[in-house]
Amino acid sequence: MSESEAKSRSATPPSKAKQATPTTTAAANGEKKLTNKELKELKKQEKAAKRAAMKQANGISIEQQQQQAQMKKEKKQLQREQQQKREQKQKNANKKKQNERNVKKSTLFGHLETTEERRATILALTSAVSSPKTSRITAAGLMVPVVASALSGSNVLTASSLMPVGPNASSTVSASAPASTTTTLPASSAALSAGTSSASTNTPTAIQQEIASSNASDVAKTLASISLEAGEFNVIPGISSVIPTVLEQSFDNSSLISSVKELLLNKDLIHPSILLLTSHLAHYKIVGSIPRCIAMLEVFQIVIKDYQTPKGTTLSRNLTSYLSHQIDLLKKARPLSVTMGNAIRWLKQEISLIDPSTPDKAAKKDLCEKIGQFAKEKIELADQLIIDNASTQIEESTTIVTYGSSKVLTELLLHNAISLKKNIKVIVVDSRPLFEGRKMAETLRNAGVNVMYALITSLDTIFNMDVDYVFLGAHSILSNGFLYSRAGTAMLAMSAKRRNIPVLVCCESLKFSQRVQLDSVTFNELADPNDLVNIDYENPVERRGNKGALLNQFIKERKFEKKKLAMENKPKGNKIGGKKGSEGESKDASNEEDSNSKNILDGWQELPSLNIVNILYDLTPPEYIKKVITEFGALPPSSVPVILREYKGSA
Amino acid sequence: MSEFNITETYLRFLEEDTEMTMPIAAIEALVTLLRIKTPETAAEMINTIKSSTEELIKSIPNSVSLRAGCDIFMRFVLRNLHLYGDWENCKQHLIENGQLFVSRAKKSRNKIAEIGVDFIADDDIILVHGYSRAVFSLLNHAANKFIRFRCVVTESRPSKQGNQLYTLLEQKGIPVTLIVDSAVGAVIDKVDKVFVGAEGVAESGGIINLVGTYSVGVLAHNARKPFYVVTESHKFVRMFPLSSDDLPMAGPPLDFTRRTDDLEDALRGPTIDYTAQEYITALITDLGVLTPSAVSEELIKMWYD
Repeated sequence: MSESEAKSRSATPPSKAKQATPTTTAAANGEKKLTNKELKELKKQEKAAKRAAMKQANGISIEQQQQQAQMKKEKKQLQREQQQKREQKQKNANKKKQNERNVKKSTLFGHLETTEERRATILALTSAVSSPKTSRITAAGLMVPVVASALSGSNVLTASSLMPVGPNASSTVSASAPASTTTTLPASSAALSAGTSSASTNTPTAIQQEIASSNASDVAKTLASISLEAGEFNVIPGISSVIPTVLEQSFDNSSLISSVKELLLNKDLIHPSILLLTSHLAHYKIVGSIPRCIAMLEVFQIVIKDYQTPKGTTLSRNLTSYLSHQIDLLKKARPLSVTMGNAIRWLKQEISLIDPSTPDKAAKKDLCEKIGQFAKEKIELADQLIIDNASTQIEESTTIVTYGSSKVLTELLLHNAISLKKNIKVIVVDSRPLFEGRKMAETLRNAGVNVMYALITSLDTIFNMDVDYVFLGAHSILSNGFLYSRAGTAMLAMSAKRRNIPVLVCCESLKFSQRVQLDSVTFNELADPNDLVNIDYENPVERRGNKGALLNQFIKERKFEKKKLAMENKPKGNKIGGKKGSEGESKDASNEEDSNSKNILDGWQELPSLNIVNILYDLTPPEYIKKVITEFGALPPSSVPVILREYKGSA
Repeated sequence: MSEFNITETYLRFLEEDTEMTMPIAAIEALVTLLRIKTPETAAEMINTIKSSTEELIKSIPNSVSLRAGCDIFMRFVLRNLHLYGDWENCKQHLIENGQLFVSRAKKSRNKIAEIGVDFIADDDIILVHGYSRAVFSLLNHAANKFIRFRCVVTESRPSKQGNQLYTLLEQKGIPVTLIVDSAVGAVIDKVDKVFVGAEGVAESGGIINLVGTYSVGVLAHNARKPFYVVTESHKFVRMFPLSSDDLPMAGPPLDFTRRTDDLEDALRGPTIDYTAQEYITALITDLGVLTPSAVSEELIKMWYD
């Protein structure tokens, strides 16, 4: 409490008393029945009167007293107004910020989870789950076990030691209740206070603190992926982990936050291999619906092997819910692919079919075998059948157009060109920003297939090249025959249909979905919009926007080294250039560098009227697809629901 | 009978019974084969059927509907083999049921006529391309029901099946006129609906039929006239041609080699074509009236259950 406030409080009663005394004293004399409240009031008045008397005795007149009181009152009023103004300002600023957010979210695809949201979630989770003793590099930067080390007194990795910039490292921690005031403290003490506050409920060593440090730009860089402006974290009591408050501030999507909290509560259940897979998926290390599905099944085998049934339940009942926790986390990496969804549905059914009386060990072994068999049957053998079937379609010396990269198509083309020695020509059409076709083109070229690589922008020219077939891969085929595949497929299929070129889709029946969808807006996946903006070939690391602290430092060091090199080279440049001073030149160079590193749409996040959409999939209507080649043979797209209906049990 | 020739048997069946369609003749030939060869094991039986089917398909130039019959029989055998523990019993059952299948398939044409008669109304002008027993039995049935309709029959070159149909309809007393194939476009506006048969129905619901069907289909589609395919369900075949040149044919679709001076001999080209499903309004079959997409459903049901 400030001094002035204390004064003003003490000053208020007299002024009140002045007005009240005459009437109330009379009333008190007249009536004896008084409530507690009235009694209190009376006492106050008495006190005030006494004080006034004292002051009078000290030589201050009543008028003077009144004046003083009035002054204090005014002062307080002023203060109050000022504070209100400040609050208003802050509120407005917040509102403004929120508005900006809302504008960014209120696009056509506002209902879809953005990569930012996904990254923030994963960040919160990985920081919570990662072991307290070791530091980890996550999507957002370095996770340092500050509290643990600070408490134990061992070598403390403070922010200043990590970051090359200033010692004024600070992190703001709002302890326990989110509503309580935030306190700004130096990093280590903040961590300590957080530690002690939760020490009663949890072991302090379990607490981790992410270091957000020094100047704002560095902080922003450290946590660039979640666009953190001030390093604020919210420590959930009893969970002992950090959630970036940005998560709560920037995404008014309360369900997201609650889902994160839910995940954090169950974090002990999560198997490390699932975490690894999640990070692989989130960073697009494993792409394609089939590879993702295979990776998931493999991890599930490990998870099931390590699973121990808790006491009091049976494996067939508990394992499903245990797997659900793992799947919840997987969902956070990227939305589950249809193949993954189908496989999970199958697995859950298999688990529920296990006889509760079978011993755990046998049941687990059985399940793992079944998973292996499922992968073999539904993917490997299915691919073989598809390749056999599709090969009958490909004649000698045909030209085939494909789009993007598909595992089964690559195998099909290799099989035809190499094993069957058909003289085929493949045109791989590709698109920004993923450039998946490069991988396929490279594989085919390495095997000696005649490949042409082109971007989708030159589609018209490509179709003028006497193309015989368009072969497409799929992410999924929906119940109404719509093909859900990499964005750009629809364009390709429609162009092909216009020129009467047959469009064939190769697709395992595992990819058939029960869903019906008429446009690609209702359900889709949003990729990082930054991918569309920065094409920084000089500095590919910065392209993704998720820079770890170490990486940043590395980049900085590199820059420094480069500068050094440039300095060393300067004399020569001077001799050639002649007149310009070295200082002026270096300034020029740095300016040039700045303008180079800045792309046209770099600041799109700040531009309220600019939205960037980077969607991953689109829908191709069935009338553009001639046939779908599956392991059940060639079908028209209208037969997808038939397969789903007839093989619901097995698929 | 020491030497059994599947092709001869097949041709003999077709000769003996003019009402018999090619797939049925193929099935009957295969049943006869089983009766004569009496294979000892299941594997031997499957191999025998397979090799005979291949031989038959190779020896007959126009093999689409024949293939459908062989497919059905093979499927039938494979499905029934493991139902019986006792081999002798199983073989007996297969032969008996094979014949049952044949007799049932013959009846299906009457069923089609029953179902399809609703599609013919009084005062209709019906265009028919090619001669199909199923189409004729339908028209015949409609005439018996005293529906007053008229027919336009195409000449259907090069097989000239149209002449055959013309005489049959004439005998029946149905008002009929014969036009050349190239006149279809000229009369299509006057016609109310189009009926064609099919040699085979592909998985997509498109049909493989006498050459010219495709052109009629496109013309009908363009003139917004309903185009009905009248066919037995045993002609459904597990093929998925994308266009006419995907069909199994004796020679190349276009033959540019030099011929003799005889102009009649110089006339060559495909004898069958493929009409895609988008030109077909409905298929009138013994299973009921199907949309083209339902064909694939029926085939899937038949092959995997």
